[in-house]
Amino acid sequence: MTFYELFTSIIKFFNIYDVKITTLHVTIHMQGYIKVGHVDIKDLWIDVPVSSSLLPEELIIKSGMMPRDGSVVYCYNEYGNHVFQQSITSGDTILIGTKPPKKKKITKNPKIGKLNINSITKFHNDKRCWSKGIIDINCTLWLPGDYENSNILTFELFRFPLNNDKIHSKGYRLHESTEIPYKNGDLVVVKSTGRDKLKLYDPVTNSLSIVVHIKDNSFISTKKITKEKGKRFLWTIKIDSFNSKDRSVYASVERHYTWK
Amino acid sequence: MTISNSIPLQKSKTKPKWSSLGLSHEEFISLKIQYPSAVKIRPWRLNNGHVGAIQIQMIGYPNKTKYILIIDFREFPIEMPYAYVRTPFDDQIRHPNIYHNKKYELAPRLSLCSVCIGDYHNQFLSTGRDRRKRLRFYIHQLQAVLSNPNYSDTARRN
Repeated sequence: MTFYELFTSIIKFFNIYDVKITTLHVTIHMQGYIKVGHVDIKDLWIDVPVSSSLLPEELIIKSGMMPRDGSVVYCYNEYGNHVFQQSITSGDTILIGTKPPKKKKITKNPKIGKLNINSITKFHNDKRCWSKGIIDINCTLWLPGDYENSNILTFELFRFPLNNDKIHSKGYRLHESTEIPYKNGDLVVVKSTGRDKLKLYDPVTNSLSIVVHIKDNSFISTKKITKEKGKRFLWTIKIDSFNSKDRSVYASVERHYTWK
Repeated sequence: MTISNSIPLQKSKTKPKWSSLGLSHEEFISLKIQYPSAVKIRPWRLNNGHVGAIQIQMIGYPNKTKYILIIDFREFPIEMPYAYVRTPFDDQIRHPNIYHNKKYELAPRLSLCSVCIGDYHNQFLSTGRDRRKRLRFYIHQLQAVLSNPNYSDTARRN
C-alpha cells in the first residue's frame, strides 16, 4: 500500500474530509462557508459556499469582488495580514481590498477580575500614583490610586496597543459589594466622549450603566484645561458620592491624573 | 452565496431620502467594490453633504483602454448622471460613442469629452424610486457602452 492510499483510507475511515492528492498540490474537499468582507465597506459580509479550499485569486472571483477597472485587490485575514499563495478553507474570515484594513488603535476589552498589584508609579511630587498589575501576556493594567502589594477587584476599561508590541490597559478598582461598588474618594476612569460617555461599570447590570454627574465647578475648570492642554479621551475622576438607588455618581475631574 | 442576515448592508439611519440630490457616502463606498479607483471630487460636495461629482477609472474599447471619467451626480437620482472622459485626450480616443472635447461648466478649465450612453433616460426613470437601482443601472450602462462600441452612433463623426 502506498502512502497516498494509506492516507486517503485513514481520512475516509473517519469520514471527515474527501482528500485528493495530485503531484502538484493538495486540495481538501469540505463543505462550508468562507466569510468575506470588504476593506472599504464596514458592514458588508458575504458567506461564500465552498466545497474545497481556495486560493486568494479564486476567492476574489467567487465572491464577486473582482474590480472592473483594472485595479488589483488582495486578500487579508481578520488580523489585517496579507494572504498570499495560501489556501483559504471554510470557516476563515477574509477581507478583500486594494489596501490592508486599518488596524484599530484602541481595542475595547471590558473585563473584571482579581489583580495583584506589583508596582506603583508616583508623580506630582509623589502626591499621586498609578498602581500597575499584569493581567495578560505583555499587558499591564494601570489603576489610579495607591494599592501597592494588594489583591483587589478591578475593572478593565480600555486597551491600547503600543509600538513595542506591549499593551497598555486602563481600568479602576471595584469594591466587593455589588450594591455599593464605589465609595467616596475612589479614583476611577471614564470615557469623556463616545457611546459610554461618563458611565461607570455596574456589577448589578454587568454593563457600563452608572451615570456620572460632574460637579459644575469641576466641569468648568476641566473645559478650561481642555482648551489649554488638549482633549483627553479618558478622564480620571474622584467620586464624591454614590447613590445606590439611582445608580448614579457625583464626581469631580482629577486634572493631575487626566493631564499627567 | 448568501449575505449574512445579522449585519445589514446599509444602516437605516444613514439611508438618504429618496429625492436627496447627489451621491451619498454609502452609495459611493458601494461603488468601490467594483471600482476601487473611484474618488470623490471635493469641490463638488453638495450642501446636503452628498458627493456632486466623482472620478472613476473604467476599461473599455479598444484594447482595454483605461478611461478616466468624471461623472456628474449633481442631479442624481432625479436625472440621469453625465459622464465625461478626462483621459485619454481627444486626439487619442478611438471610441465611436465619445464626443469631441468641449468645455463644460462642471470643470471649466478642463477639456472633457462627453460619453453618449444612448437614449436610456426612460429606462433610467422606469427603475422606480430606488436610488441604488438607478445608480447600478447607470454604471452598468456606462460600462457596457465603453466596452461595446455602437458604430451607428454619430457622436465622434461630428
